[in-house]
Amino acid sequence: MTKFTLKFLVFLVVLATVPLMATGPRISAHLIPTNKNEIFALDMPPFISTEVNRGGMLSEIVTVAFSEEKKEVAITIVPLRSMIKYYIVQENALAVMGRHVVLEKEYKTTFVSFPLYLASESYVYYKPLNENKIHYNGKLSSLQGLTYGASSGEDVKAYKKESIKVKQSRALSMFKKLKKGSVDFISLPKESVKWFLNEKFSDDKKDFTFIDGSDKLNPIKIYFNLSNAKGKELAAAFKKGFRKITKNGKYISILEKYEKNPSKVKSQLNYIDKSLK
Amino acid sequence: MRKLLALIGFIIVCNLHALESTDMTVVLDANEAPPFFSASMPHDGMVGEIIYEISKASNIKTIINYKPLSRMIEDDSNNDLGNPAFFINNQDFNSIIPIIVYHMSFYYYSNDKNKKHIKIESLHDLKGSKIGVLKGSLINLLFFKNQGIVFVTSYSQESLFKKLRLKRVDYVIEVEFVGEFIINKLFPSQKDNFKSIKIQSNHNPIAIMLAEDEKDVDIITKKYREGLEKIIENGTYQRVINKYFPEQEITSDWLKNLNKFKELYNFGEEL
Repeated sequence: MTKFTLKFLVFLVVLATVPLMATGPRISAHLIPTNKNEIFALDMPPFISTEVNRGGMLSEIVTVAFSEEKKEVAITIVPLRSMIKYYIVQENALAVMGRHVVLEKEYKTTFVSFPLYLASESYVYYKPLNENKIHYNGKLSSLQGLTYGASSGEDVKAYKKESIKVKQSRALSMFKKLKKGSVDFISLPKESVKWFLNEKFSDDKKDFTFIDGSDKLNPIKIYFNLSNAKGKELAAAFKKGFRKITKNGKYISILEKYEKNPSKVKSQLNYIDKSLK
Repeated sequence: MRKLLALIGFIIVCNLHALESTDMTVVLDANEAPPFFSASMPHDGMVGEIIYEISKASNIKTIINYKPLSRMIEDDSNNDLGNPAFFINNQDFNSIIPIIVYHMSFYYYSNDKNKKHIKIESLHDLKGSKIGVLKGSLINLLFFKNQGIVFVTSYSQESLFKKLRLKRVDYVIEVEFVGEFIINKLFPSQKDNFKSIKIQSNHNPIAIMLAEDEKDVDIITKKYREGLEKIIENGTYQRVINKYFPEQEITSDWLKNLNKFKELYNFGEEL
């Protein structure tokens, strides 16, 4: 096969998978709005994403937990945190889920929350540009003068205090900014880092690396809005259903699709069990 | 001395005036999507003309640069025109300025005058139907397959409506403005046989999306937003829409939806 033929075939594949018009319809499962209980979720693959089967690991867990209690929910995945904020403030959304979606002080409403997954996050940098620039000793002060690519909604006071510049971005852009050198390091759940490197940066994934000793745990949660008339009822139903799926093996079987290490699956289950007591 | 002061004053006034009247030039990438955008239509089509009027009102020179959609999406440093949903997964924008909001509709063909209008209230009503859609617009095929709905895809909107006319599909899902435009173009004498059902609450915006690294991006954003407000207030916006769709009124619902998207993409920022 000649190079030209190969390029032409790649072009055809791209043509077949990309919509033709930027103003055309996008036809999703939410084509016809339903009266189902709507939950707004912030995109973060492989946990929550339209690019992952069943909307991602956590979308599936939430849907299955509710179905144990015979409740139907529609999970609407949005790309921007500003959209989550809009739905809470302007439309009194029933529930939202995701990483860094709620800082209680931002809202006049109160939430009841449940952790869905305890994510292990780590700093990541791009080796070709930063090999001799980053020397992390466990303290933020060792990263002084660098630029941190933060997620929208993330609390960044500690970074600013140590004279670390902060640029907020969405996850995919963070990786692009690492490559361009406009940020020096980022922090994301390890599962998300692996997903982005495999799906979007497979050619140069070896150039991205975790910073040793920077692991921290951050739960990804679902938040029920108690100002919404159905918030309390749905929170109680979710808690009951979630507890059931941790006992009947459904939670584990969903986790096992994404995590092959049995001890990690077990420690997730223990964490969720404790949080539901 | 007085003469010198007068001269300095004159120079300052002239420079201020020059600064005010200086055109800023902004390049926005778009793809061929008549009647919204098309290089072959006067002022680049309906949305192209709205942008032309916004630019005139805000003293900005705007150039619409046509590209294939895949290249617009891949480029993460450009300014884009279109539905933000196609772009914001791949690019962080400094600002998103919605220009119009459109609805999607189900179109069907019926020349039986006695036949009652069809109602589509849930996906269950579509079970067993063949639906024509534009290639690439389907997000979750498996979900629809499980609902017993069959999709027939096509590379062009015109071909979708030809299939509908020949009853090779039961419905076509299309943006209402685009559907009307194509039916009028292809089947002017049969246009009353094409019926549409508007999908309520399913609306999307067409917006100007300005890149993070665009020079003077905050000034441009402010000017575009003010320009849009100006042309809505002085009736120019309504006049442009009516050039393409004479019966379309700019209702309070239209403006409410436009405002919703303006807030949705920028919530928490001072607009």
